[in-house]
Amino acid sequence: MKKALSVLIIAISFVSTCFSQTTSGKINYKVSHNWVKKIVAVDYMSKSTREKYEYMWGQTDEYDHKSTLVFNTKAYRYEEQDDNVHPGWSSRTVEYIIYRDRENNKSYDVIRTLNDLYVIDDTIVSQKWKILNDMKEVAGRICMNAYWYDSIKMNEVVAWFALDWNEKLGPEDYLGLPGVILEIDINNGAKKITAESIEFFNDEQIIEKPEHKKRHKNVSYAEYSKVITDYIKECKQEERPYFWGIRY
Amino acid sequence: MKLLNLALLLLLSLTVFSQQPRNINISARVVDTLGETVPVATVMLLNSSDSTLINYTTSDSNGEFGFKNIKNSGYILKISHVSYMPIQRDIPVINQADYNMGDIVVAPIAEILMEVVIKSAKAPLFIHGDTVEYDARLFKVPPGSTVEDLLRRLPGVEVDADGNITTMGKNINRVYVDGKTFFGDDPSSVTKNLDAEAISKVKVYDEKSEQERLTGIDDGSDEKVMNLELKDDFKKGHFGKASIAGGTEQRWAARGSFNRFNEISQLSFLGFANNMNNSGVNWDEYTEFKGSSAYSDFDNGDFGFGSGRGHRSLSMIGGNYSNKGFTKNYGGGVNYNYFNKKTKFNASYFYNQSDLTYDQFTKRQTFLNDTSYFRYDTTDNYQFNNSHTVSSRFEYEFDSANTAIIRVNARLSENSNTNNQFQIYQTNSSVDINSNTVYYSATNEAYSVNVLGLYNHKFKKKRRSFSFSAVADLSDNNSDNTLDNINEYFLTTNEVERIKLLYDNQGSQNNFKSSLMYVEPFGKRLSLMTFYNFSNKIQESAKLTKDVLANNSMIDSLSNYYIHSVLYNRLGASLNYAWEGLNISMGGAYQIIGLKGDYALTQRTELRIGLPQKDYMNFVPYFSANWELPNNMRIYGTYSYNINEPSMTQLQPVSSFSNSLYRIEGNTNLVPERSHSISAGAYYWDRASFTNVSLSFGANLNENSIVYNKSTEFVDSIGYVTVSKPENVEGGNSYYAYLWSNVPIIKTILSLNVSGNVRFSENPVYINSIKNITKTDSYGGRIGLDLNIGAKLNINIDGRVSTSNVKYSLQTNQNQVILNYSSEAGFKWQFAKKSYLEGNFTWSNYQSDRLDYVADIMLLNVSIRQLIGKNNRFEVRLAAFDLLNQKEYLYQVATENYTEYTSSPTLARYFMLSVSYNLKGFEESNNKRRRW
Repeated sequence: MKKALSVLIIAISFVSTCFSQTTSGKINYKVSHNWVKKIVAVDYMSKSTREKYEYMWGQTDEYDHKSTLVFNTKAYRYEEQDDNVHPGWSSRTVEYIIYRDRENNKSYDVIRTLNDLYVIDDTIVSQKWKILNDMKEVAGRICMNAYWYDSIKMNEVVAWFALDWNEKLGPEDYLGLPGVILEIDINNGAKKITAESIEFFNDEQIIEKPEHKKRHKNVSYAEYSKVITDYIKECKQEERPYFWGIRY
Repeated sequence: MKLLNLALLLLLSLTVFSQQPRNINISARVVDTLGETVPVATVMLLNSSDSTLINYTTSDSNGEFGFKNIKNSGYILKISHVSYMPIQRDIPVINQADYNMGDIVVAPIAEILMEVVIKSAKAPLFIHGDTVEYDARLFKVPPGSTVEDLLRRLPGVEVDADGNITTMGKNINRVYVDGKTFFGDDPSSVTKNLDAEAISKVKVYDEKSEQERLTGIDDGSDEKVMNLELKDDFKKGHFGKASIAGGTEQRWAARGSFNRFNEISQLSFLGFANNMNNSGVNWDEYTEFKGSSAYSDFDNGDFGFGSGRGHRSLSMIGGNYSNKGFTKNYGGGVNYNYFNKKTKFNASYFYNQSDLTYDQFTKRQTFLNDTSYFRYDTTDNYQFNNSHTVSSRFEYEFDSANTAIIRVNARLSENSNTNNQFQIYQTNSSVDINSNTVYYSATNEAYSVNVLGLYNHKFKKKRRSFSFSAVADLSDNNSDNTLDNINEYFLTTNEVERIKLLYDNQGSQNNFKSSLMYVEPFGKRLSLMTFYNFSNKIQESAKLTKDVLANNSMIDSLSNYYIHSVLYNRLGASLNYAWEGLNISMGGAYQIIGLKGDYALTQRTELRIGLPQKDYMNFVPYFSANWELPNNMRIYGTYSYNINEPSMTQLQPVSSFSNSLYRIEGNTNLVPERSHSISAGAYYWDRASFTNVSLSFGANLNENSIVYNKSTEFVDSIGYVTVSKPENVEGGNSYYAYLWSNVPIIKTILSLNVSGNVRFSENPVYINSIKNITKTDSYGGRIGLDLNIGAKLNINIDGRVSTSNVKYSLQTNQNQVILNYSSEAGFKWQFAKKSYLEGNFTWSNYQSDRLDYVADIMLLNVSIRQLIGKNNRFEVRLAAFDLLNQKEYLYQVATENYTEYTSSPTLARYFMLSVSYNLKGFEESNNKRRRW
C-alpha cells in the first residue's frame, strides 16, 4: 500500500513537472467584496460607527465580479471583467491592468487612481512574504499560505500559492512566492480573489501591452506608492474610509 | 592577570569569528519515510527571526537541492510538497563554507485527510508540527447538533455508542475547550453538552506527560488529547442608551433604547417622552431601532417608469421637530428581525402621541383687480394626535432565481383639534369692516391596512427576469366636527350673523393594484423592459351637515353621499442601453384613466350620476440618461410626462364650508392635470482633493393644471366673501437651477462650502374671472467655512441670503420684494480629555416691504458636557438654550393674490441638566464629521 502511495506521489510530481513547463494559459478569478468587513477593519474610525455599520449591514450579501490572468513565457496580464449582470444599469469599469514583462522583469501597470491615469513603468516589485504552514485546495491545486502586512493600506494579506506550480504569477500586483498565487484574502474576507479555473493552451497566446489614453502620468512604483500613502494619511485625518477613493 | 584573560578571550573569539565564512553553500536531499527520493518539493529559505521568505528552489529528480553563496546568517529551511507534511529545519550560523544537511525525511499526509478534507470538504488543513486540524465549520451538521454529532462526521475520528472517541487507533482521554478543561476530565461531558455550532476548529495532538514536561525526557507515555476552538465570530451582544433631563420652565425629557442581537436575530426597544417640541425619532434612532430591516421597507409594487400609484408609507419618522408653539410627546415600540440565508423577517410595533398648543398671529393683504383689504388673524389651537402602527415584512428566497416578499402594515390613529380664531378685516385705509370669530373643534378616527405581495424570478439567461406584484390598500375614517361662527359687521350698520354647524363625515378608500414586469436582454448592452400596471381605487364619502340653530336640521347644500372610482391601466415598454457607465432608457406607455362618480343626498336616497364614466387616454413618453465619465464626473438628464387625475374631494358636487366668509366648491367637470418635467445635472467629485461640485437644472411645464380660482365679493352687512373652486387652467411653468460645492482650502483643516439657487415661476389663477399671473423670481445663496484646529477644536461660520421678487399681472402696484438673511457661527471644543464645550449663535433678519415688516432674531445656545467613568458610560450635560430669549416662529409668503406673514411664540430660553448612560460607553473623540 505504502509503495503504491509512493508511486502515486512520484506520478503526481511528474505531472506537476509537466505543468510547470506549460507555456501559455489563463487563470479565471472571482473577486468578492465584503463591505461590512472592510468598514470594520478601518481602525481609525470611531468604534461605534463601525459597530453600527456591522449591526445594520451585517446581513448584506457580498458583491463579486470576475477577473482574468493570461500568461505566456514572456509576459502576463491581469485585468478585471465587467460581465454586466445587473439589469438595466452599468457602472464604468475603472482602468486597472497589470502587465508584466517576465523576460525583462519589468512592469507596465495601467491604473486609474484619484482621477488620474497612472502607468507604473518600473522593475517588478514583490511583497516580502512570511511563509505560514497551512494547506488547502484552490482550483484543484494544493496550496500553502503566506502572510504579508500591507503597511500603506494597513491590511493583513494572506496568499495561497500552489505547491506544484512554480511560476511567478499572481492576481493584481501580488507576487514573490515559490508558486502561482491562486488566492488572496485581505483582512479575513473583506476582499478575496480566488482562482476558479485554470486553462492551458497548446499555442503560445499573444499578450498585448496595455494601450491607454495619451493623458497619463508615467511613474515609478515608489512614486505611485507615495500618492497612495499621502491620500490615506489625509483620509485618516478626515476619519473617512480610504477605499471610497482608491482601490482596496 | 585580568588583562591576560581578556586578551585570551579576544583571541579566542577572533579565531571563532575567522572560522565563520561570510557566505555559505547549503545542500541536502529530500526523502520520504520509506527512503524514496522526493523530487519537485518546494524548498524555501526563511529568515530565522520572522519567517520572511529569502530564497527558494525545488528539489531535482534525485530529491536533491542546494543554495549557493548565501549569507551565513542563520535560516529556517522549509520543505513543502503537495503530498507531504511541511517540515522545518533550523540552519544556524555555521563554521564551514559547505553545509550538507544530509537526508531530510518528510512524512506523507494521510490519504484520508487529503481526499476527504482537502478535496471533498474543500477545508484547509492547519498544520502544527506533526499534527493537523481542520475547519469544523465546513463539516455541516443539522442545527442543534452536539459536538459528538460533529465528531462523527470528521474523517479519521471515531465515536462509539458510549461516546468514547478514538483517532488513529488511540483513545482520546481529554477534551479541552479553547485550551481549558471543561467540566472535569470526562470527554463525553463536553462532547455531549456543547453545541456544534459554537466550534470553529477541532485539533488533535499528543500531550506530554507531567513527568516529561518537568524533566524534558520523553517517557513514551504521550496521551492523545483534543482541543475544541470556539468560534470567535459567534456574534451576539447588546447595546443601549438611556438619558433623563430636567430644566427651568418646567422642561423635562427622557429617552431610552435597548438592542439585543445575535447571528440570526435582532430585538430592539425604544421609548421617549418630553415636553421640548421634540416628537418622533430621528433617522439615526430609526435605523438603530429597525436594525438590518431599516432599508427594506421601500417596495411599493409599482413597476415601470414614473411615479407609483400611491404608496402608503407607514414610517414612524416624521413630525420630528415642531417650531411652533409647545408640545408634549410620548412614543415607544419594539422591533424584531430574524434572518438566515433564505429568510428575512421583520415585525414591529410603535406607538406615538403628541399634544400641541400654539398661539399665532397672521397679517394678510389680499388684493382684487381694483382694491385690496387686510385681514388680521389671532388663533389659538390645541391638537392631540396618537397612532398605533404595526408593520411586518417577510422575504423568502426559494433559490438564487426565485424570491417572494409579503408585507403587511396597519395603523390605527386618532386625533382631535380645537381651533379658536378671531379675524378682523380692514379696508386698505385701515378702517374696520367686520370681525369674524370661528370656534372649530374636530375629532377623527382612522385606520388603514396595507398588504403587499411581490414575486421575482430570474431566468437562467443573465438579466432576463419576471416580476409580479399585488397590493391591497384599505382605509377608513370617521370624523365629527362642530363649527360656531359669529360675524359682526361694523362698516355702516352693526349687524351680527351667527352660524353653528355640526358635521358628521365618513370616508373609506379601497385600492387594489397589481403590476407585471418582464425584462429581456439583447446582447450584453441592450435590454427591453415591458410592464403592465393596473389599479382600481374606490372611494366612498358621506358628509352630513346639520344646522344647530335650526333644530339640527340637515343642510342639503353641505351634505352629500358620493362614490367615486378611478380605474387605471397602463401598458408600456422601455429600451435600456447599459454599458461602461452609460445608461440610457427610452420608452413609452399607453394609459387609460377611467373616472366615475355617483352621488346622492344621503346614503339612503337614490343615486344620481355626478360624473359619467369618462376615460382619459394618453401616450406617455419617458427618457432618462446617466453617464459616468472617467474622471469621476456624472451627468444626467430625464424627461417625463405626468398625468394626475383630480381628487375625489375636488370632483364631489358639494361645498366645503370653512366659515361664513370662505368656502370651497366642488367641480364635476375637472379633467386630469398634464405636465412635462425635464431635469438635468452634473456631479463632479475630485477624489484627490475632496472637492465636490453639483449642478442641476430643471423645468416644469404645465399643459393644464388644477388651480383654485377665487371669486371675492363684498357683501353688504357681511364683508368680503370668498368662494374658491378648482378648475383646469392652461399654462404655468417653473425653471430652476441649483449649485452646491464643497472645496477644501487647506486639506483636512479648512474647507469652503457654497450653494446657490435660482427659480423662476409663473402661476396663473383667476381672481373674479380675471386671469392673474404671479411671476416669482427667487434667488438664494449660502457660503460657509469649516475650520478644524487639530482634532480638538472645530469652528464653523456661514451666511445665507434669500430674496423673492413677486410680480402680479392683476395689480402691478402690489409687486414686492421679500428678503431673508441669516448668519451663523458655531464651535465644538474638546478642552480636556473627557470635557467638551459647544456653542452656536444665529442671527436672522426677515423683511417684507408691502407689510412694513422687519424682524431680527438672535439665538445663542451654549452647552458643556463631561464624560464620567472608566468606560465613559455616563455623560452629564448642562445646556443653555436661547440665552437671549428671542426665539419665535416666523413665516413669510407672497402668492396668488395675497401676501402674508405669520408669527407664533415657541419654546424660548431655558436651562437644562441631563444625565445619559451608554452601555457601550460614549466616544471620547471630538467627532467632527460623521458624513462619509
